[in-house]
Amino acid sequence: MYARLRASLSRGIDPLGLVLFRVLLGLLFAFSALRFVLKGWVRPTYVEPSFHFRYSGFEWIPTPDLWLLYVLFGGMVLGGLGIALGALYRLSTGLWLVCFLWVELLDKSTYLNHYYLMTLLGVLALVLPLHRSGSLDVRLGLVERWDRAPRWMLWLLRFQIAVVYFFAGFAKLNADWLLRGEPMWTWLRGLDGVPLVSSLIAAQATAIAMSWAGALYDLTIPLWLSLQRTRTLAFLTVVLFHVMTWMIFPIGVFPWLMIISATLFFAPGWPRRLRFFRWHKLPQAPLADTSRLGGPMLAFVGLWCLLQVAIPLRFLAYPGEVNWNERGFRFSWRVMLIEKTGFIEYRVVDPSKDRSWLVSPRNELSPLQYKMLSTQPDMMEDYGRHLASRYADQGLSVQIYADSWVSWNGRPARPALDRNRDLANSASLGSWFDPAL
Amino acid sequence: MKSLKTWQVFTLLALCVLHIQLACSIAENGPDPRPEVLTALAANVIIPRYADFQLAMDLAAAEVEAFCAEPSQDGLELSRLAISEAYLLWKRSEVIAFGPHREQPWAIAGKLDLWPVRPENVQEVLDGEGAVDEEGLISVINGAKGLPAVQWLLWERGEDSLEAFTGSAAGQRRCALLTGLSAEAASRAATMVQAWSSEGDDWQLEFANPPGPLGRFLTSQDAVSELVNRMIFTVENIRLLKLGKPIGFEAQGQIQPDRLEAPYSGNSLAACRANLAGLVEVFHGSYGNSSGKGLADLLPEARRAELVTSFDLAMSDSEQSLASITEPLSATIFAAPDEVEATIEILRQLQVVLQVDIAQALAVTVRFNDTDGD
Repeated sequence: MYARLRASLSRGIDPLGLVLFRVLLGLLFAFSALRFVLKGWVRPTYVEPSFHFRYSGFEWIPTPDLWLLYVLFGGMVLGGLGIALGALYRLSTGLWLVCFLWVELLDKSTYLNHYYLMTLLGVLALVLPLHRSGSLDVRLGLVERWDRAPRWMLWLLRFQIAVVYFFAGFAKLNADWLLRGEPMWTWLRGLDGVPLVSSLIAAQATAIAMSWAGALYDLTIPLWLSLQRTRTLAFLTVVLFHVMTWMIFPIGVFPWLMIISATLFFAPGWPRRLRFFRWHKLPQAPLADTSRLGGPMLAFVGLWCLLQVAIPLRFLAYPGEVNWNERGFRFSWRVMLIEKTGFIEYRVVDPSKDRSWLVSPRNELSPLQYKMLSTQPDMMEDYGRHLASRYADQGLSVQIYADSWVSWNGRPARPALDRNRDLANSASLGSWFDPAL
Repeated sequence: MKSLKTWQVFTLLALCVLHIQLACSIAENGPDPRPEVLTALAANVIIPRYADFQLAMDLAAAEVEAFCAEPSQDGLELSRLAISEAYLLWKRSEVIAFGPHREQPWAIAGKLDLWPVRPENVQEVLDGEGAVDEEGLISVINGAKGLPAVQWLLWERGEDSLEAFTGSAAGQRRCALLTGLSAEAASRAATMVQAWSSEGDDWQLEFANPPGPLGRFLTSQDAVSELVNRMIFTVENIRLLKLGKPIGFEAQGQIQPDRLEAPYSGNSLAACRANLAGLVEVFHGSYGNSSGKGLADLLPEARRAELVTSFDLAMSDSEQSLASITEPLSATIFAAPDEVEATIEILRQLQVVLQVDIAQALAVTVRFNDTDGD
């Protein structure tokens, strides 16, 4: 059975669908970087704040100067175009990945699920030989041409996208989403200016109906996309759904990324149905041995799949409600799942002089950083430690207390941290956030 | 007739459900209440408040002119009273700190109320020889004019104030500057009224019926969002700037008397109370004897009573706490900073209600930049 499965996964398929996916993904990578620069976000996001919320273990990553940041974004554009063209493919993919990761790891307040997905797809693009067909590298004779691609490559990418959808849907199976229609109702109330739609969406029943539809969509869309009979309708739904979310919410390139990814579920040679691709011939050459799933590649694929399931489920190992304390929230496809508003200030106490004063993080942080800080407990602690270290540099040994209030999915505001816990002198992430909610 | 396929049946059913839902939703919710509330706020609160301010400022300028024509202690007291009255009316509008308040070409707040005043710059004007009429004042920096400078001129000398305005050429120049600055402030008040008037720049339309000609707000929700953010910042400014900074919040606990607002006139705490009064007016839609719709009317019905109660309680506690601080604030920050700190703590609850509960209930984003989210 195992041998049959391996043989089946190693069977050759028409590579054209994968080629088109690579081209579109590369273009999206380039567009995303260019868009960030053209929107003027580089300086306010990465240069103006004097403090960055670092990911644990990545504090060593240097903060680039503005010119270097532009170089990194330039690297992303170049890398993305290289991926699209299949030009010096591995180098281009590596360049994109290094530049993208450097920037993304600078500050966790900029974390977005689709940036994480782009990272994962970037890693897969680096590992998988997606440039063996329809690439400049083949044209220039830099790599051997594959007339057929191994099926496991396509299925690994399909698995990756299915994981995103499945866990996004799985996370929605909670009372807030299904019974209260939150946070959809909160978001919909904030919309206006769309005739008719504004009236329609103002009702909680509409929000609940949309929430159910959203959960069902996430949980089942990979299946509908995979079945030939439902594929066309499913893809139209994908386009409609993502274009609608793009119009309503500021979610950047996420909708386009998911629309592109949906094409992975089509028949491998689906672009041949488009007139434009009819030039691409499909010789019946046998598949090269190098593409078979075995050895280190098999180990990589196995480990990758295991991690993709384990990481989103790690929240089960933590106490408390993940949507409240956000432990295990990132990298788990908890997409558009909660709406929080928060307030945070820090009281600094100098016991030696019996003095205390308040510090508002607004003075030092960007609005985005402040918004994220005001609702995310781990960042609240990070900033408390930063303050302690800042005063230590001035020769002051102080105590730091956070006064934080958070409202989650329409609930009344509650403290997110214990106000009496001295963040300057406490162990890192512990059981100190309120698990009661 | 061909029989329908399964997916076609489901699509038809979905469309029927959607249609019924649409009909029910419209019947249940009625039209979007935001334009009505914004219109009411502009008509019942914002415009009448600015009109009152203009009137008070005209009266104050007239009092100052009369005082300078014939300086006397009574005239001085009447001028001080009139300026205080106008100033505190202005302070009630701090919650409307958008549009002509801060945007070009009006940017009235910067010209009318840039605080703390820079005494050295006002003294420089007094010591100079340039004209202090409307034209001469154009070149004077904002920190040396507007209502803070007027208050400095009227109160800075304490018991010797009358003397400073009489007799010598210096006294006459001081009076001329006071008259010039008061007249200029009155002119700014008129500009503000004009900016909101439908016969002027029509910020009323801009605010209440977005998108207006200037495109400042794209939707009614943008205007609501602006207002809620201003409410939050008004409270935060009272806590951290007006009360916190003087007791050393940004100076590791060192008292900073030069960070006080309106210290010379003794209006520091009254200005904070006026800020809060303005906030109540916007929230409840009431002004003077009139009442209309306010932001509270936009809260979701299921949570309205609870949130209004939270706001009213937190506001009442804040007002009482502010009233309990010993006057003048300029002395209390040295004698009893704990009193001030206790008030900052109580005002925090008001900020939390606005920034966390009300912002979420109104689906308002608090100071968020335009990068993506998911």
